[in-house]
Amino acid sequence: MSRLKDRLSAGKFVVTGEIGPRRGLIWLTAWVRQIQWKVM
Amino acid sequence: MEGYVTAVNVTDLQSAVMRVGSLAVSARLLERGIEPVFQISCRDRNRLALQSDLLSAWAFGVENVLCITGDHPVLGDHTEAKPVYDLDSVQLLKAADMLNQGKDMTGHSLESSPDFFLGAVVTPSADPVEPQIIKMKKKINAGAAFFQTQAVYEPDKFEQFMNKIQSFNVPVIAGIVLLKSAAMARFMNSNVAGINVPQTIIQELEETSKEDRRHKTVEITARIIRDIKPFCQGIHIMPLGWNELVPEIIEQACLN
Repeated sequence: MSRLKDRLSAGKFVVTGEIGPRRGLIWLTAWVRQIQWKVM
Repeated sequence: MEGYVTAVNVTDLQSAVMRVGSLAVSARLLERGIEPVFQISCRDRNRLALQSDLLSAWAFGVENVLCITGDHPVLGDHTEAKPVYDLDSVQLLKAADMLNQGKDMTGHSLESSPDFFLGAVVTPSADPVEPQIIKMKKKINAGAAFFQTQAVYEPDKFEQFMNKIQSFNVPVIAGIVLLKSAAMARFMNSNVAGINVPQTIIQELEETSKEDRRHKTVEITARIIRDIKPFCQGIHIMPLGWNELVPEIIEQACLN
């Protein structure tokens, strides 16, 4: 089950982030690595 | 808790600017153990391609889908591009919900069905807000199980909106875009429908030196989150590249 669905269904407060893919996978990969966001 | 967010939205050619597609990026995030919210817009694909991409997303393991209409190409970097809009966001939600039930839009049965967690968007600060509420109801009837909002900067207005939709009984994740400068705030007020950054916040940003700006952005964002948290089921942070500030915002907003 989606963790987002799981948490919302359980009445737990969620925090979501956002990335906007840019012009090139190489740059994107670098950015994703920089994010350092992990999943609850 | 391993990290800071439950899931990460992946925008679909946001602002009608050509970029890497949201499906590929969602799949890459899954490979890294990050749960994506796959955004899919009606602007660039007809119903054949939309349904196919939804099934492709499921094949990659994507579960969360945010169905949006999408900004018109005239707002983007390929102004001569032909917009599709074969479906609108309500129809797209309905199509995705039918896939969940094992049928395509024509009623033909699928060999197996996905189980998408379907989301939609709403603009609480719209003036008037009633059309937003009517469309929100339509989206719920079409299959939306959660909502993410346009950026919220006015807690009082947001509370009023949430009171109006209380009977819908659907989770609402309030959006907030990090304000990087007073100029950005003014630009959003002038150019982004449904966003109103109060003058008091613009003044705060104006009176902040460039060196202290990131600190001020964290302070303002955390304050707004603390004010709106009692009225919603989640916060959607749109950092616009200032990703490194998110942990501090979460801490100051008492979200961890």
